[in-house]
Amino acid sequence: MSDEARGGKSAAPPAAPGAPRAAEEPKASARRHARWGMVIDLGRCTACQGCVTACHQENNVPPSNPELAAERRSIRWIDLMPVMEGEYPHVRLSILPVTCMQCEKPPCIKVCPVGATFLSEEEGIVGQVYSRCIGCRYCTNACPYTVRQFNWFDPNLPATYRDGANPDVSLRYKGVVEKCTFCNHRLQKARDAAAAAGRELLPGEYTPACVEACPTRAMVFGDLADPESEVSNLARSKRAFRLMEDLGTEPKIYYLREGVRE
Amino acid sequence: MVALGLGPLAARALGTAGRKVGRRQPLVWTEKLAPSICQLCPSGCGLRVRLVNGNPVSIHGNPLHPVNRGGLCGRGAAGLQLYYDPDRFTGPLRRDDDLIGKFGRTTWPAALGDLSSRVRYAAEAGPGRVAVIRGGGRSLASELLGRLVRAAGSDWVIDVGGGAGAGAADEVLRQMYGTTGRLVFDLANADFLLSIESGLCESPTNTMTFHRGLAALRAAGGRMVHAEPRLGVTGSKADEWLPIRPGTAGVLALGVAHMLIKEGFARSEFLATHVRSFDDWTDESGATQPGIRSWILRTFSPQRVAEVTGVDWERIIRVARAFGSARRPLAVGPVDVATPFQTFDLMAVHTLNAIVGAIDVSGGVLLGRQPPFPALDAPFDPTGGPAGAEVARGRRGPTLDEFCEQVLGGRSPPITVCIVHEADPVFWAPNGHRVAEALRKVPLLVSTSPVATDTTECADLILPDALWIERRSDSVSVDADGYPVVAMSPAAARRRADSRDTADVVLEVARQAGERVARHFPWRSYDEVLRDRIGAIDRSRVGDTFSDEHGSTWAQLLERSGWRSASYGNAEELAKRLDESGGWWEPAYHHGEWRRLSPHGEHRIDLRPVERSSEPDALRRPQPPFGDKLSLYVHPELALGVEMGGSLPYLQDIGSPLTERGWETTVEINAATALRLGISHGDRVTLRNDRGVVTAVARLSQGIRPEVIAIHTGGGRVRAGRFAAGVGANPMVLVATRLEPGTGLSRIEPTFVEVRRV
Repeated sequence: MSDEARGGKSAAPPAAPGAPRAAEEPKASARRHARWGMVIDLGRCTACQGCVTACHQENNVPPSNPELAAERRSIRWIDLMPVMEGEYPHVRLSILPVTCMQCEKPPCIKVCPVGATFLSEEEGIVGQVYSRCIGCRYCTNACPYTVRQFNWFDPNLPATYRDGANPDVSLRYKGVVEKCTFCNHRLQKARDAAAAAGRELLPGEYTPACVEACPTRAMVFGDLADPESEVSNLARSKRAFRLMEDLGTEPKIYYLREGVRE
Repeated sequence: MVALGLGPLAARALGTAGRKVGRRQPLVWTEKLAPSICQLCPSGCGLRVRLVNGNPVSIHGNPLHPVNRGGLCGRGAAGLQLYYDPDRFTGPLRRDDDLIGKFGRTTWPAALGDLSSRVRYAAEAGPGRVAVIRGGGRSLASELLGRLVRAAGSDWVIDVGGGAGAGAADEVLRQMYGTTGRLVFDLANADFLLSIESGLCESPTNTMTFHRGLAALRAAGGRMVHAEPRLGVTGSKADEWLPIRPGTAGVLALGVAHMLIKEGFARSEFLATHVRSFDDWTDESGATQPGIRSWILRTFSPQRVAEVTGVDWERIIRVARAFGSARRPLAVGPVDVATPFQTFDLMAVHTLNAIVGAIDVSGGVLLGRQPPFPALDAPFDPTGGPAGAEVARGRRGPTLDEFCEQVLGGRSPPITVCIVHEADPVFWAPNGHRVAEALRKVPLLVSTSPVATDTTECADLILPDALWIERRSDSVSVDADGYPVVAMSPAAARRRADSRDTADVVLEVARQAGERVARHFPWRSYDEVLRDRIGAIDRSRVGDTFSDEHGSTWAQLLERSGWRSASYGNAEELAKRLDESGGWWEPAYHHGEWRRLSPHGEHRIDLRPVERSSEPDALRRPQPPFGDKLSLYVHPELALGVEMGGSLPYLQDIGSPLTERGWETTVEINAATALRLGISHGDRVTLRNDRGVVTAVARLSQGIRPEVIAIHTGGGRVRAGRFAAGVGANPMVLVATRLEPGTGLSRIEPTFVEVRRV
């Protein structure tokens, strides 16, 4: 396999006509697909919401207003979920950052009538094609984690804000569903930069905005298909769990329990 | 500088090709990351601003900055919305009551000329006529403002930005240590944290050091017990929550101290060598004086403490034993939550730390180190030169209450000029209406706020400061290890308004304000002051510019061993490295530095002030609410605790992590109490007492005492642009204040409210 092919390009280069490619075929087909995933250490998370504003800024998520908020129609790609257990005075509170779980078996894509949402075989990321979405909201109902968001209105941004929008990500308009994409525009850029340098994508070169912003290093991101990666090691920890594992959706977001020793 | 032409292409390939944002984007754009410093709280986190075609599009953390190491809290990234705020002041404004908006445009020369002449008249008329109210952290602009006031012969330098417990923390240092400075909590190296109404995770000040320290403590397996009337974000990090009554933090701390003394957990060696007046002692006349030990044993039995705090005495004993048995225990008191007996609370918690020897040791309370240059706003000595900290030691700065008393009481000398910088005291002070009344009465009130606030509404002149990302900025802070950190950065983005650096404004005003003032300002520009400061850092021959974590670890090892390998050789190289890395720090902390305050290194902590600060009411069971009234507990929220936060809609969005929606003030009520009052989750409720009425949304919770209703601050701004005016409610209208005897600091009174469903 050529260096270029190993450099993490999205598809193997087309074989030149007549070139002796047969011997290279098995290697190319055995090329490992990434399974991007995240581990969130609840022991380290202090609910500062740095991930939330970093995500919103990176992905041009429009700010809400009192009316939308009152109708629970604010859009949040990542949110903090408080879980309170017990009765006064013996109460325990945990706060979990919740975003799209990037399931291996996502229930949302099965119900989409127009193929607007898909699971990328190569990356394991659940994507959303806004121009295809017809706004039926089947996917928002099918998602057990309720992390898919519907745009009830066009984004009502002051004109001055538009100069500050991230040009890597388009705004979404009324009638489409949106959700966390693991900042895959960052993956695209990192992969292009690695390919231009003639090398593979290195660990740490692709990081979603939420992980980059986390001040306490509670969020770790990486390739779960690489058994040696930090994220894989943490996902095998005894403290690790996933949300609603019994549903069989196989989320790629893992949580590490707080206050439990290895 | 990186040139990329892939943006629109990449978006299309990813299926994100909806309609493009706003105006047409060029096919090829230029991108760069420019360093800056966040000034939304005193932490002074390092930033990197991403610019696309010169427009800032996102704010990231600077990975080299030791305070945040590339991370940002929820506020840091949102700061960009202030830059693009559609309601920002576009230039200097002058009050004109004939206009509908009450303010008309003026020019910078006219505005500065007016301010200079008023400062000049005030300085010539006599001392004490110019004042400044400063929020935010320590920066050259705030220091120069303080210096302007001192040069005009006044001591009215009022700091309001240090959080609710700042005044009381100063009292701890002043009365117990006999010094000034800043206390730092080495959370990362403690192994048992007793947090009593600390508000570590809700703190709007020192956010980064608290959050990163707490995360490190928990990640290393450290235990934590949290005591507070409600279970909030800080409580969610704890292994155990003690639901104490509001206003009983100090009593709980001394209850734990009682058990430690009684059961032999007190670290007697530390107490014998570093603490004064713990045991009974003999004065010069030979008479025996009681030490603090006998007072604690006599007054704070577990049964009595249980009665006052409302927590079972068995739990107090259990927590005390766990705390005493820990290797590196640490207690943190109400550093950022306003309490009725704040000075007593903080002194009691400090006494608890002294009893377990958790002072000036790894994992204990540290005294933040000072940078190698004097503060420009230190009081002048009678000969006219800056006297430094020696003069300041032993006396505290004036308070907002004293300012109000001076103005409203018509006392002499009258304050004729007041400048408000990075502060909104009308909104944030517990007695905001009184502050507004006083500010309106000052003949010339100047605000440097770049956006409308409740305080700018009272101003006569508005001289909008440039935002931190559009000007050369600097900040002086202390990191979680007690190291001094000096951040500096050039302007990252172009200006969007006709604003000016407040530092340059002060220098211009000083120049025009006559010889009496001007002689204290030998600099022509902000850059010259910075050059002086950089020269002082270079001459100190300590510390180094910021570097990555490996470089920093190496620098720390060298500093500890008395070696140094700096990345610069002279002041020019230092200036260049500062622009690249974002700042300078001295990564060394010498434990025991406070002991060197006296000539022979025998300085001891005095514990007597804790007994002196204990008012009788602080030791009694708080008055129970009667009828349907509930006890009001007011607490901060991280995202909403920003002076100018009203103009940041992302922060209104995220509000509190415990609520499902933002853009509203939420109250927490115990579920059983709510049932009794006929209140359901999400109902709108009114909180009423004889001072006022507040409307908020109810959140039912098991994590709050049944007789308490908790409400957060940060809502209810009256004048704050389109994103905040009229959003939420300000609980401070319900709270009465009083002046604490002994310190004269303003304290909230225990408050009770009648709660009704709307």
